[in-house]
Amino acid sequence: MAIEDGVAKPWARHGREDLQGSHSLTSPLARWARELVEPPPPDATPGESEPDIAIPESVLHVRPPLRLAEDAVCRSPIAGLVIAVLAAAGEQVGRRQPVMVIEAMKMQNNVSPEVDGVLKAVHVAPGDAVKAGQVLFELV
Amino acid sequence: MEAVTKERMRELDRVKQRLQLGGGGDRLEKQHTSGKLSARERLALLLDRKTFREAGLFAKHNGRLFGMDGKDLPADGVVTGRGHVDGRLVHVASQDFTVAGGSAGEVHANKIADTMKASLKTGSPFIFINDSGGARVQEGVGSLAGYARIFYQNVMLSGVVPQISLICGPCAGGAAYSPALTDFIIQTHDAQMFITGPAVIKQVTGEIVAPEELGGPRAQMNKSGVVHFVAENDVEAVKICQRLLSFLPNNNLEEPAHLDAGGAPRDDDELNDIVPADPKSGYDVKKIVARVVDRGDFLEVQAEFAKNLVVGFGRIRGRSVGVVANQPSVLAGALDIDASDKGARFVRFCNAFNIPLITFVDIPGFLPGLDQEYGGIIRHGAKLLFAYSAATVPKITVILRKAYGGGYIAMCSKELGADCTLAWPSAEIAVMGAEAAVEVLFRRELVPAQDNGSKRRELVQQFSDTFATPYVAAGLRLVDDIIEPAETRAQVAEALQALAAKRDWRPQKKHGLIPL
Repeated sequence: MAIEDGVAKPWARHGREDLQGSHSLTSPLARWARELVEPPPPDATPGESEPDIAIPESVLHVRPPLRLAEDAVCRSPIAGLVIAVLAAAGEQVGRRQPVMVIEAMKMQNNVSPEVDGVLKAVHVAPGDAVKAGQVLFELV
Repeated sequence: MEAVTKERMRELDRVKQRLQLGGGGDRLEKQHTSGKLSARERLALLLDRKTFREAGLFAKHNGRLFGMDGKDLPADGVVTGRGHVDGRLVHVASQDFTVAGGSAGEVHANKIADTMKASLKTGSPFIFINDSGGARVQEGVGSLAGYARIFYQNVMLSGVVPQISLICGPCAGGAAYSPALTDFIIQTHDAQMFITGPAVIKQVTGEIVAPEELGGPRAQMNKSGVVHFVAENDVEAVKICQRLLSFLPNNNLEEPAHLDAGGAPRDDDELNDIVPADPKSGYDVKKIVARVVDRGDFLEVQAEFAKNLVVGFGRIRGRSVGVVANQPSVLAGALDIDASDKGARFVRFCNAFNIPLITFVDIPGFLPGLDQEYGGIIRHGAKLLFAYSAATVPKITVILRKAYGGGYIAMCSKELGADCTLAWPSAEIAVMGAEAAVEVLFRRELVPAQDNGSKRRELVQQFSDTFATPYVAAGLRLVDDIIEPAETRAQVAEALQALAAKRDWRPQKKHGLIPL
């Protein structure tokens, strides 16, 4: 069986070197591979990461992020109390960046927009009670 | 070689080459300019080099009406066969958009269904790459029957071999139900899935909606939760498929491949500092997951849907595990309808394919609200209880912080059959939060006339001192042990090893009745 240590595996490319754990193959996998219903042909290269086809540039080009019409309006995910507003109208905000903190279920919940954009308007202020689905802020 | 024999070989070569071109040069070019790979290129990327063995290249369609008679549709628009991914047998079907728009005629569908039968007989995963305009209308109801055969086989394979769908182009109408019946769907940025398209919606309801808004990955991941992974392009979709397969066994009678266990786990002091001391502060539970699984290699499933529950695959000392974790930074980590559905489905998949479950708990309870009750949170939340109780794989639960009420039970509590429950010293295990509990217990004594708030504060403190710790639960043996967070990886790894040969039986029945 042609599976050996050191063969490039998709999973071998994942994970961080600074954390614990090994990803190299050992005998159990080789044993399991021998039990395949049918052995691969002798000239096969298991786990070969480089395919023998050319990938056109048009396939690899980076697509613009998909936007839905409703992305411009950010609604409260939960009923609660606004305790902080972290950005003001006119500021650039990112999709993982908290714009507001809402306290609900005895927890502080960060609210971020679904997409990157510029804040057009903020409709609530600290101290406001908000309902689930209430509009909190809008993006341009 | 005799001249006649030689000519026969040359003829075979010519025919094969012509058929393998599918729709031919121009259409292939168009496929590329629209940002897509061809059906065969996708298979070449997915499978180990030179392992693809095609079945049905010479298949001919059986359409006779509406100009179909004598029309040449190579392989009837779908490439089927077997091959290897990282040395493991898989069966594949890849729709060829360059041949009649990848439309599914009866023969096309029968080829796919036959490949699935081979998957079932050989206990090997089935991978279906979708890129099709839909039913071949010229073949009428024959095309419809073909779809139904595929759906039926999807159900036969379900829980026996892993089924993965790649959506690399349109997948509209009835065609969308085959992916829906498989275990995982990987959709590319440009692909769309929907049951009724924008034209029909406009006709029937008058709503105007763009196809990508209706069935693009944002719609089907973030909103509907139909899709499990979103890929930037075909190449990434194939890579996600390969990585996903690496965590899974070939069938329900096997275990996932074991990788090298690596060195014995060491204490990881970073884990002591992730959960904030302030119980109101959120944090990212994925930081904890990453430090417990091997090398932080965690394949998150449905990352953008019901983000208040994180599910996905990792490995602990080389063995696949399924991770389910509350995400305190979203909706306080509470369970709602979507999170319950997402969790229950994942737990059932792991159980079907012998993948142990690790559950990380930090949950304030089920999400309150009218829309949740009207939406049937009772029915949906029950799915999670059902899935965990029915699962016979090793189940390990780690209580990080809050474990309140029904949420505590639903997150694989001891009573739902957890084999090993561990709690961090920060764990708070109680029937409800202190303030709510005091309100229920002392409502009469705490009327404003008799209390200025100090009595209430005292009682709240008393309740939280008693229950906002893991010690009461440990005293009742609902928790097996209280551990330092730093030891978590080592403790979970040891428990998994001890449970490797776990046997657990359930009464014989046709099937349980999960509250759908």
